[in-house]
Amino acid sequence: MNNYNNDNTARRYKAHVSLYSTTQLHLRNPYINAWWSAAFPGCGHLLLSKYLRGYSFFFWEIIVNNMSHLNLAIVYSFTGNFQMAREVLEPRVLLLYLPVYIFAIWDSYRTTVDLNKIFILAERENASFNSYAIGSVGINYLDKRSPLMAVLWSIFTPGLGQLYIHRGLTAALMLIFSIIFVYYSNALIAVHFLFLGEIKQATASLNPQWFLFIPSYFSFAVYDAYVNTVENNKLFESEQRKFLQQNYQQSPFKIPDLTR
Amino acid sequence: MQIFSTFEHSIYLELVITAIEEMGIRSENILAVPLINRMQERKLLDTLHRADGISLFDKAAGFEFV
Repeated sequence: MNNYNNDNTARRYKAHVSLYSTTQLHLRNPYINAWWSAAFPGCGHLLLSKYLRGYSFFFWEIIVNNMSHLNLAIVYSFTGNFQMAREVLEPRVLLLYLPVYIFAIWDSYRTTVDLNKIFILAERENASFNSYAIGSVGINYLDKRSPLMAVLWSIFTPGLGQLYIHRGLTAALMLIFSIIFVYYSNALIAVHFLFLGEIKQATASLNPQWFLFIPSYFSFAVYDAYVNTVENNKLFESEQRKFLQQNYQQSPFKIPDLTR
Repeated sequence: MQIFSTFEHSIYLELVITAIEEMGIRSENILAVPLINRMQERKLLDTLHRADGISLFDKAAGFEFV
């Protein structure tokens, strides 16, 4: 059940609250989104709520990077072992990586520019949108939430910040890959050794091919949760403002002069 | 009698309005005026109310893992 049925009379809607996720347009810096795509292909599109493209690039990155041992080669070349890097790279798929990687960056840049223009038009049009959903699988609604809590929960486990703001599709991806990355990279075993003071063993226990996915994925989860919490709050305010103006500004409204 | 009050935007605001309506005040006698800052300057840090992809947080988050 929704509180607004889209009759398609508006040209552009700036948001949609559904049972699975809150989707909204807002202003974004195209360079920042391009940068997130460079950090982890797919992330720039996930920020834009373009989930199909985001998911595709995300899976693609993991499959092709693992097949070509790119992360491993990055670790070797950053530590000066160029010969090792050369040996470990898999030429059968390596060049497959380049065009899609650059396309993801370019496409998230241009989509951000386009969606910024569409957002400005949608904001001016200020059409009513569905802001409340209740059904057999759950409830979603607009509310004020704390960006600080979104950041904190994302630091504890990537995906929890997205759950907090009901950003369901990103939350599912982040939570599932929390398990996969942590399991295959042995990151928690390394943490365990660090607590015991065994720094050498900690480093040795890591699987660098899988571990190198984590820094960009982790920072992205924090950034996405934070920005979308702030923007959800702004959306809540804008929706409430419209509601108040439509329902509590009956004309003529007279404020009696009490000085007489 | 008149009551003036300012509120932050939140669900509480709608709880207040519906509560006074339940006390018998009709909606024609309630005036709600959203306060909007028409001019907003670029700021270095995001707040609860705004983020524009330009502030320090965006860059910091971007360089966090480098």
